[in-house]
Amino acid sequence: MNNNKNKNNNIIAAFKTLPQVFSLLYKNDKKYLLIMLLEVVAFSIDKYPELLIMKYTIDALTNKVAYSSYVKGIIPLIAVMLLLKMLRVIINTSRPCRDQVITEKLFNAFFSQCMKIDYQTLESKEMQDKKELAKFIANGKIAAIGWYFVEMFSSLIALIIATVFMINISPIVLVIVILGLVIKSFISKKNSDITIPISKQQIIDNRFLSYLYRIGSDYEYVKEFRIFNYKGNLYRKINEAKESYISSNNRLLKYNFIQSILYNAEDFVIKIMTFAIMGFSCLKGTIAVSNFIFVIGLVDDFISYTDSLTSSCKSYVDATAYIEYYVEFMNCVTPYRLPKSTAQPDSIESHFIEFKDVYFKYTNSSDYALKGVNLKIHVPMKISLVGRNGAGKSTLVKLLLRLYRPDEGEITLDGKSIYDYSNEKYMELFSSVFQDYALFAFTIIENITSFNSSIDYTLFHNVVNETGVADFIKSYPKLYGTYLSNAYSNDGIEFSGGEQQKIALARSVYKKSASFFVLDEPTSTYDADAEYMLYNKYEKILAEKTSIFISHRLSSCKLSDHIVLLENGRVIEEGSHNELIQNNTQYRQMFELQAKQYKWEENDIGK
Amino acid sequence: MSKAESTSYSKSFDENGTEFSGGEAQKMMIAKTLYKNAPIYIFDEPTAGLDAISEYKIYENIKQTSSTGILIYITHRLSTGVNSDNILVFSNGKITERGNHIQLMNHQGIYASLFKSQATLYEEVNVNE
Repeated sequence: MNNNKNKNNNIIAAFKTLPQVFSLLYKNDKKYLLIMLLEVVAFSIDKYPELLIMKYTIDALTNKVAYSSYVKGIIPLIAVMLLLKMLRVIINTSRPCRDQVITEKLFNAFFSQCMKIDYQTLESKEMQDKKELAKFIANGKIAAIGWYFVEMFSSLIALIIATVFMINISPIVLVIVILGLVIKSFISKKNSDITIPISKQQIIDNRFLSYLYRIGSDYEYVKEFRIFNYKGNLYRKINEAKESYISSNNRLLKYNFIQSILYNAEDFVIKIMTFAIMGFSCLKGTIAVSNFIFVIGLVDDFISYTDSLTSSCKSYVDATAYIEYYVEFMNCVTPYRLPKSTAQPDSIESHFIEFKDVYFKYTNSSDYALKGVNLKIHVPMKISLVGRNGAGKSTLVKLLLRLYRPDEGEITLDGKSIYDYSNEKYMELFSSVFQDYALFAFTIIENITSFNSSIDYTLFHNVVNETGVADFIKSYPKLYGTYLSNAYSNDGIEFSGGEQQKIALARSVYKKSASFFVLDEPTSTYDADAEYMLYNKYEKILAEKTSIFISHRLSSCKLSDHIVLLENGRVIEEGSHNELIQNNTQYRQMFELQAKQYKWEENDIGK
Repeated sequence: MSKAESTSYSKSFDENGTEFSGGEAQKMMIAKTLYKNAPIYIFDEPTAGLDAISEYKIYENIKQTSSTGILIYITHRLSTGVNSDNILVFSNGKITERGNHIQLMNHQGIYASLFKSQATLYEEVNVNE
């Protein structure tokens, strides 16, 4: 946030983004810049036809010009006025549609960039923040920036025009007006020196307050609130936060009130002085009555144009920060982006993967998560990956799935680095159920078949029968056409954790191109019965395939022919269940710890 | 209050907050529950994401900390039942079995069959040994 604020305050940095803004606009709408230019012209000379008509008319009256020549002179002015009004109408109606289209195009590009950036880069906190800020572009920020720019630029031109007129008619009034400007900016500087720290604190207070409101009403906290009696304590926290917010808000209001009083007083003084000077010269006859009226009008316009220049400048600087985030996010060249078309895996039935002395470290972490892992994985093979929390199990699997890239060492598929294969072809070989798997609010069948347009019904029915989806889906009238959750359908079903995991498993098994199945705690919410049934069918479901099963319930290791035990990022034990259990291994210790709890006959229960 | 005691949980509103891992968060939840010092505690799958050793330690700690209260465990890991005084088996919204572990094992109902199905996966090894 601090970084963000600095960017906001730096007007020069904001203007450096101008080429980027223009190129974004131009790329997405070729005529947009032309429209902006017309807008600038229309706005900057908007007020002059009227002023000039007035001046011209008074001149005609005082000089007793003939009626016909007066009309001849005024027609072009009226025509220009009409033209400008029409131009504004056209622009005002056509722009919102164009803004919408540009916003959508930018959002589509943003969406495709999200898909393109590699997992490791995207996962970082910094990138996630940048992504969230870049997403603001979808809230129409780009259109707002276009508008602020037009306002800023046209006020500037209008000011220049007014200055030129005033130099010619009454330089002294110009001096007064500019002096006023200087005083105003001095007041504004003083004001922002005081108010900016308050606003910064307010942003923090506001985030805290909205977090408190959120937890007070969000469904996920409802249970906790009732049991732990948070109500009184939360009210206290909210009141404290609110008091702090309101008191800083009152201070802000006070300073802004003072500022606007001073501004108005100053405008008033400038106008009085203008009237005095111009009135005096007019009475003395040194300037014409028409110029008196004209200059009064100019001063009015000058003041209003300076106000709109400063306010649009400020808004522009604030808004461009988002453009910067957007451009940075879109231009992010990920160090790991893969070449588009490279080697394809040979269509041999038995693939072979090898980890060769693989090291991996998380950014911001001082210690390696994996420290020289060596591992051989054949097809078919049933592997259990075990170890304590944080041992590196999930990290290893992410490296295998190319979500992370090793810092040292190499992972090979059939003898070639896994990074030599195209992403599409490599991923065809893998399927998974992640610990934090995500299903979609589509129908069951769409979820299981990954919303593919062609469905292999024989395979589908096999899969749903074997994974147990068929058993629980019977009780829903729409069967596989049932929607998951009510995110967008009205008759969706909130399935239980166990049911959702079964759907996730079915989706994973349905992927027939896969040879390797990564199953990370896939049965964590199954009941004993369901787990037992899956274990019995496991061999059949994944026949001829390789599976890597991660679970803290070590009974699952009986499913595997090979157990790999990780500890602090190293493979410390490896072998079949029987091999490991016969020696004094950590695996045996952990297994027996859980097994002991089931040896009920030996326990003293008669309490 | 020291910094160590006042670390914000997650970065929802505090930039300096820490995102704790699933296992850490679960341990914190258990701490929060026990801190309340209530006569009745309810634990719904309290150790789902924890490894065997952490799980064992936590169960031991819960037992010690709350030795005078009533503990209600909701779990799919039936080994928890062995040390419970009373086990309630729910089926279709009804309590179909109740009793201690030995009673329910002798009853040979749903509990016994579910327990055996989990236990066999561990038992075989003991036979092999």
